[in-house]
Amino acid sequence: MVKDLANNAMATDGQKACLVIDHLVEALGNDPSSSLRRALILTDIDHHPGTTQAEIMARMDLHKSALNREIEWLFNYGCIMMQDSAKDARTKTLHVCGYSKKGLDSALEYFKSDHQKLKNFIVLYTKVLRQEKPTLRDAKILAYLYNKKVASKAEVLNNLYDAPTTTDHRAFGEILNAGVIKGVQDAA
Amino acid sequence: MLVTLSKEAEMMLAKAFDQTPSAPIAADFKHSVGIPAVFSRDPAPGFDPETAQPA
Repeated sequence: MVKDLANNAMATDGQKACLVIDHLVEALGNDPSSSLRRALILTDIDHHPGTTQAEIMARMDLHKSALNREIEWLFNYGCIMMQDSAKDARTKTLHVCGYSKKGLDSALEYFKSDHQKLKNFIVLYTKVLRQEKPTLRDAKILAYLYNKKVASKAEVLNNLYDAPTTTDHRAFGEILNAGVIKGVQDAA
Repeated sequence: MLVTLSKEAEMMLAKAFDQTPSAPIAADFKHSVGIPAVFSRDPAPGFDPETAQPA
């Protein structure tokens, strides 16, 4: 805890962004292909312990089918647990649990445990990426480059997560094609 | 191949840890993940607001 606080105080914003994304990956079953939307839903559930799917839909303006898929994934991976609602037997309340809670708490330390700030961080990266369904891997590419300013493609890919090389190359290529990152000679 | 962030991306990411705590997320998020927004009833510039045809 003290070590984390010290690291937080000394890290640059770019380093902190990398660490936040790493903790979100931990919180989502070590799956860097998890979407930022999934990370946002997990954060929202932790922000409102005991919330229901209907409440999440209203807060995040999500379609029911999209939310159902994400809730099912989070439950199957042990990120959340469901309990019967004391108010309404037809609904389930949702709670973040286990390793997800630990990973999320670690990410929240960089925002003084303010869930809204973490949500805004995730939304900001989603906006910058300009993709239909950006992933935590995509966000890590941006955070790494924000921290390093200039890096080789190999260096960026080496600092991603354990995944097939083709997956990393594809993610990098899509961000490059979208113009979010540029070759150094094109950047000026 | 050396790469860097676009200027726009770098400027936006500079705000990642400097945000308003209570900023609403739903509207921004809805657009950013490609969920169709409700279309405005206001016609685009150059279109007649009554008929929605080119003026």
